[in-house]
Amino acid sequence: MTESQKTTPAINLKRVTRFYHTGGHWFAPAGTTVTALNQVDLRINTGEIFGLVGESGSGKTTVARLMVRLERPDEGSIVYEGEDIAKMRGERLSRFRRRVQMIFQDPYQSLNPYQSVQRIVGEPLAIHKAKSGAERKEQVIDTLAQVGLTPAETYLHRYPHQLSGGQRQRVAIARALILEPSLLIADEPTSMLDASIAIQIYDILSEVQRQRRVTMLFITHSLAAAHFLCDRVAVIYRGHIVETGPAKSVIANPRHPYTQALLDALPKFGHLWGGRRFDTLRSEPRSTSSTNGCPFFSRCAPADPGLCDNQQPPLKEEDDQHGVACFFAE
Amino acid sequence: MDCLLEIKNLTISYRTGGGHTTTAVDDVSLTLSKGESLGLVGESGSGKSTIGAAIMGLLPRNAEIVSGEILFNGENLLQTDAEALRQLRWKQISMIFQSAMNALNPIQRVGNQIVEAIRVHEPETSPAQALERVEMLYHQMGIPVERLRHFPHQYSGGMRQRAIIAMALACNPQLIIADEPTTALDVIVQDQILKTILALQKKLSLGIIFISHDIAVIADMCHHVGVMYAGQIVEIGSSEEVFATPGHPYTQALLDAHIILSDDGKAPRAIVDHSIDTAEVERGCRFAPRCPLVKSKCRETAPQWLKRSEKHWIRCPMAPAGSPEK
Repeated sequence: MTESQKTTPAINLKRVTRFYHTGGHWFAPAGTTVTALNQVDLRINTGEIFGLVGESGSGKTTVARLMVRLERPDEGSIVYEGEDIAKMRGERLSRFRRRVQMIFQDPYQSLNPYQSVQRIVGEPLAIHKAKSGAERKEQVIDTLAQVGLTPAETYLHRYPHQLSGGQRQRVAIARALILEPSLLIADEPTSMLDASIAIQIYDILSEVQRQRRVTMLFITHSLAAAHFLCDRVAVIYRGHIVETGPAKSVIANPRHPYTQALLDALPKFGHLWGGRRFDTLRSEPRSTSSTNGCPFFSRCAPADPGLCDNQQPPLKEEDDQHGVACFFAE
Repeated sequence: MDCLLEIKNLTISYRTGGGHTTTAVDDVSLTLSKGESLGLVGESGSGKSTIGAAIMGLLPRNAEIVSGEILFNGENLLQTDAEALRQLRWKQISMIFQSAMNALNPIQRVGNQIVEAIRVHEPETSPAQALERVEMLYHQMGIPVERLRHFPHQYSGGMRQRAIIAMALACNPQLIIADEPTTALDVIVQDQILKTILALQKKLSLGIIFISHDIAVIADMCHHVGVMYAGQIVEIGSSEEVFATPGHPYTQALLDAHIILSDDGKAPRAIVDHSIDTAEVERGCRFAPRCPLVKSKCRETAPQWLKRSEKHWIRCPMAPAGSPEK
């Protein structure tokens, strides 16, 4: 990666907030509002693999859905190549839809069971009216070969039920790649797969990134996977980015108590820092009525009641350096 | 040490329609002593869950036990009649299921469900005594006792899994089958649940068969490990030894595929993505089509068990002769 690429953002989330309204139906007449994302700033640089790490319910999939404009932010803006995606119309929007592609979590649900591999992978070309029939087929074959489905011709007329989970996910990747996107969003692409198959998917993703210089957002719950694959990572907790920085640095020197708790919770087997412990997780969560404080306050052992439950610590980050949203991180 | 569970040459096949059968478990033998844990690790479809279901007597109807014995405290469970097995189940052998959401009745209060489970198996226990025991279990599992009156949907995922474990322990069993008990959970919750299981195991000296695809979890949790591939155990031994000096190329491949947080950036090697139909490989080694060490004789003859040390056996003649070093 060159210096100039490092500093150009491919996509930029600026103070993005997203609410979901729940309830308001027969069982729960009083609707409540859940803040899925709270003032999230996220900058993904051109050509990098950026990892977004968080537990279920932390808001990571919401980030993905906002970035491909399946949803719109309630506050803030998302800027893709210098343009606010909410304001895109017509040809600009169509181009955006071509250039930004997504790989979903579950290849058992994201592929149409009635379509052949050729149809599934070639469909984006047909939708965007790119190329003639013969050229399309050729490009489908090329793309299948690139994701390791070789000889590609033998896969063209197969249907999803004839493929293993790993092969399905490769088909999903080929489908996302065929329009030659500049930004690829992979939402937990391996959570349904065995570890040995997951490794192959990571290999394909990093190979694709290397060859096509595509920018990638990799969403995962696994710090180990993020460490393995990503250049930079952000850790998200309850809709707040709590720590961000170069993947190696965040994992070797985690500074937010939540990131530290995540590392504590990993199985110790085979880990370099097997004996290292931070003990930042409270066994009994504190009860707190305040909603203004740090999102991790109720479970944070080193937190300072009076400060941490009344004020939200800002995320301090300079350039691409290691940033952390905690009053106590030096 | 006393032998709690012994499985001898167990073979189970599934009828898959059209008169076809698939061998899901092939000639599996293992033993488990009281108070010890054995991890079964392997990819999906390797037969680990089928073994668990066979021990519980909960195989689906299209499964057939072709041969073998499952001895629990010396008694062959496969010869035991259904009623006696029902008595044994939950009281002596219980199970922690993977999907906590589906294992609880959604329209009954969780406390009542556990009390009922106790009373079905111990009719002499009064409801009050049963409730008292459940309260104690909740205390052990770190769930507030007032939660007993709630319904499953009011529980978080981790709490539901704890309730399932409390239910599995309710009749003081000697053996627990834990089938991917933390797979659906977040890492912090997983860690808490695993710690609870470990603590209870020590305290109650439970025997545990721990089924998982995650070798790191098995390595942290279990005294012994059996590595399964395409229905067979290909390597078995103490966790420490198997993971420090793996013998079978498949075990090595699993370890290579496991991403660890280390700084040296050593790229894991991938296993060729190739689902194996056990019907295809009749004579030779099951792993031969994917094996980096494969020789022509591997495809001809089925590998025999080789001893690597007193408690460490592998099913591969090609493995580099390794004496445990560490």
